[in-house]
Amino acid sequence: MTTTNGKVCEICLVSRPMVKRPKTGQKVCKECFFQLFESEVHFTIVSNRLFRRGEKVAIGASGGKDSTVLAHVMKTLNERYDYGLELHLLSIDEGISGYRDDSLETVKRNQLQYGLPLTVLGYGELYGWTMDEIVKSVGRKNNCTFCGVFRRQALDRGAAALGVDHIVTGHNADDIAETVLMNVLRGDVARLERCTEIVTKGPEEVLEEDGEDQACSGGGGSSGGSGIRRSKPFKYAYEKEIVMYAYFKKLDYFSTECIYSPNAYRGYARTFLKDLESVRPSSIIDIIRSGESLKVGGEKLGKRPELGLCQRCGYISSNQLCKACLLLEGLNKGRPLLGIKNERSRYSKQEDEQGERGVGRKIPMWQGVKK
Amino acid sequence: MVCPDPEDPNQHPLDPSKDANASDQQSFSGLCVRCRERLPVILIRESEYCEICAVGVFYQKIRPGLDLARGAGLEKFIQRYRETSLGQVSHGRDTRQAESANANVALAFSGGPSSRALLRAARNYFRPHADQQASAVDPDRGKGLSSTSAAAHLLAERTSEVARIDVIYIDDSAVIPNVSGRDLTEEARAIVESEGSDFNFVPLKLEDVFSEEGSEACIGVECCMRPGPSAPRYVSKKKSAPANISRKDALRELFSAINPAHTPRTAVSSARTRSEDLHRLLIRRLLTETARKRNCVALLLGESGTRMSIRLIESLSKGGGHKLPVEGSGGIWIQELMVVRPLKEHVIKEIEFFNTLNGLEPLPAQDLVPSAIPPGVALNAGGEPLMDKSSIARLTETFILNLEKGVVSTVSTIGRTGSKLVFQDEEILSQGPGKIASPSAVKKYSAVGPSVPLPLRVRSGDERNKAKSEDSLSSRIANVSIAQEPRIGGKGSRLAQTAREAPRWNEYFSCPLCCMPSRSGVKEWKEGITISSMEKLKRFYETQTVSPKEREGTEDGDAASPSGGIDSIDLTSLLCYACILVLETPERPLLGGAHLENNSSSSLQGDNDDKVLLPPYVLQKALQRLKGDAEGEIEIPSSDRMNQELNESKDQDLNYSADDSADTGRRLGAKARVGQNRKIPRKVGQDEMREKIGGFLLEE
Repeated sequence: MTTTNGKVCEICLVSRPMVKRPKTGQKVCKECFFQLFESEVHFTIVSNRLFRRGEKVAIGASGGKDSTVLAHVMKTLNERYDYGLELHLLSIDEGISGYRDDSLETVKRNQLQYGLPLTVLGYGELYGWTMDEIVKSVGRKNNCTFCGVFRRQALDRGAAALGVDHIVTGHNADDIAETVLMNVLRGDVARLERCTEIVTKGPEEVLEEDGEDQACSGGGGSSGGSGIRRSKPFKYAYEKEIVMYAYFKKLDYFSTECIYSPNAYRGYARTFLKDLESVRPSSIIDIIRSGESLKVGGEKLGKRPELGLCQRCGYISSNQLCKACLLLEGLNKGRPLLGIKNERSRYSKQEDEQGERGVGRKIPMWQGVKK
Repeated sequence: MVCPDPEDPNQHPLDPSKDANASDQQSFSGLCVRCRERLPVILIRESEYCEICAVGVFYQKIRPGLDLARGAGLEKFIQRYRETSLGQVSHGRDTRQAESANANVALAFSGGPSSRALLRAARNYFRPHADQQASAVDPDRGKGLSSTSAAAHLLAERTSEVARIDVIYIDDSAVIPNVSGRDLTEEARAIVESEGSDFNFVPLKLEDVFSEEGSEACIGVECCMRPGPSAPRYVSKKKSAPANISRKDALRELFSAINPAHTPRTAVSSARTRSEDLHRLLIRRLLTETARKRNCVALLLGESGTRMSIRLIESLSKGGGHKLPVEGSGGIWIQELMVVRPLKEHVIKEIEFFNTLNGLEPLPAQDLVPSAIPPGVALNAGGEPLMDKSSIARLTETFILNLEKGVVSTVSTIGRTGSKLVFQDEEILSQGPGKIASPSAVKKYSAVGPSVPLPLRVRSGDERNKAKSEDSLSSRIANVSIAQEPRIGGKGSRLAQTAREAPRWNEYFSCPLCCMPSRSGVKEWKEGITISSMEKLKRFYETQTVSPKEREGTEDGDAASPSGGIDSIDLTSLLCYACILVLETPERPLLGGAHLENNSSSSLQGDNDDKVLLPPYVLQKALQRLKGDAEGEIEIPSSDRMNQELNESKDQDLNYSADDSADTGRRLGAKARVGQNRKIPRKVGQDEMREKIGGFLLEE
């Protein structure tokens, strides 16, 4: 370990240090910081073999810090190391006025700056309902379920329309550590093992049926379930370093905390994580290490539901109808609790008897990834 | 900070010890939920109980753990019986039956509320008559027990299978800071003796980790502790017994090496965390070693459910996830010792209640890291709960206790999650002879007869039929052994069976410091995600065309460091992830000699001031590991089967569905405040970014 008198960068031993790296505590200069940050992401990509040459990859872009920096770094690395990727920006517009509009501006600017094609897919366009309308109909409670379920499918559908079968998201190390803690606190053993996976992919995965807690800045566990891979190149990147990168590179982003329902439960884990980090900065990585070492026993978990296709929209589902179709049906019928209540409840059975009557607008038939 | 929700009705003062007393003033809505007759006096997880039922529930919950300890004794008895019956058939049945079924049990007594309660409960369980005798002398003793059905059941007539109960007390005053650390051994002895003459008080000192049987000297193994993060650790291959240093000095030096006086202010909490971890793992080591040496079959630990969930989150936060199947287990065989946590279902409040009711006084608390939150003050000026950031353990404790106040199912939800965690495949494989204890036992079994693991023989149905068709000879022997079960009764057989099916951990391939599972590839993992020097950066670019798998094999990192050599072992490569953090030391300040004062009494000073003594077992374990690694695979019975059995035994307490837990989470989420402060999304300016990373930007 090289000790310095604090006047020179601990990496290049030449320049004046500008930051103390949150991840290692080392004092480094700006150029070395960029190089370390980018190299670590590059290493994560290479060692996990995230991409294939010539692959089309969509960057899930929200206009927030993580996805803004991700777009920048992906573009840089793709050129520098000649990954040979065809990059797209993919944004989902939930239709929350005053929330997404501005942050989408950032994404649009990225489109111009980086010369990357951008696709914006709106809830209104896909489902006939914007989140503002949903909240008006459903109220403040449970609306995260709608948003989470709809977003997951929207991302997949957006990617499929672009002919992309791989989406990269900006989930960072803090998000993942937080999710590990949260899953333990909630006793969600089903997600506990999966939430540290860097790539979730393919139809062999269980389809996430419960969207609420994956809705906002959910770190992982969000498997495509549709054959579309999701991966997280920032899995080992500290949130603080992402902000630092944006700061020094002068990238602008928007705060993207949802105005409707900040996921309060995640808040417990987040606050605790920040406290832990202040005691021992490596805690974030330590938790990810722990999470990667957890194995849940028991046959119950092994019995994954058989996957089929939604009879209405063709999207992958473990039931006759996928969750999005069920939620949409509830909205259209003015009985939004339909998709929220347990399927065996009297409430749901009553609806079953009515059959296809009054189902209203349906989600377009899933055509798979466009070739 | 959002927790707990101030609107939640179940608000209690922060100090959990207040809860039991607080219950007196609590208003209760109706009758006891259990007997529906008497008025409730305590609220446990949203259920109100009367005094008698609360005690009944206390015993009901503690019973499975104590049964497991008893079952472990019986299981050992059956094993001995079978060995003798297979080896010396001609001696006849009577001599075998004459062999005593009695086993020794050890109980870890720290003097805290939980182990105090455990001591009393263990007495009532293992020595039911002692209570009657004692009550005759002291009418107050046993109050609240004798009238309950659970206690009556416990007091039922039966012969005891427990020969001796060793109550182990470890005096750790040597490392307790300030003047408050004093030796409480005599007070502990008085408590144990007050529980009757049946207990055997075993006083130890934490510095005894530097001892070896038959020697009075301080024995250790030198370890180089070069300061700075990720500096490698090498231990000497030879034990040393420096004449001029006492065990206490060696212990203190070890603690001050990882938590030195010169630690920068920002790193103090992290250093305290290391001390706490070391303290805990040395205590655990001393307990298990002592229990083994004293020929005990089970070790009872007094960790409550509340404590266990705190420890789980703590361990997770310190990179110890791989240890959880052992650390968080309610009952697990560690080698030949059954380690049981009978209080794993109890929240601290129930334990306090039990102690108050029975007039049981714990010893005064002497903490290595005292709580930084003054008692009684739970909230800061902003009305948020104060978080104790003295160490990760303290922080987690305040976090979980606060959460539990808001949502009473927190502790049990975490506990249930913990109970479902199992070993990684890699660890099961590396356990090798785990099912059959130790290499010597492997030999013994193969000399005796069938190498079929014992549990298979008592399984009915398919397994047995399969065995029959496979090999007529071994099946004959197996059948003989079924016929030759000792007479321990139906209940005894059931208890033994439960103990037999408990998960197992073999320390043979463990981390040399904590003796727990140790996942390999720590160094590669760390280097893969964090680049800390130009040299590593260059190496990375040189090797990036090589696949990660190949790279793991070729990189040898700093192994060629001058500190290494043929006389020493690279300890870092054997330590588990969490223990590497425990043995980290902060960078020494360039100016000022604070560390010199700190080490003034050291005989290892001078040129060797980076060296400290580690307990001798570390070397023994390290050599064992190296030998094991070199030998490759020691005959592994059948990893698939082991895996399966392990999972099966874990399955048994799976009487809850994933949906239940998700519901708990949803309830928890729902309870939290929703959308109170509506945030308007806005562009984040450079100033705000600066603020967020402020502490990390250096002066320009």
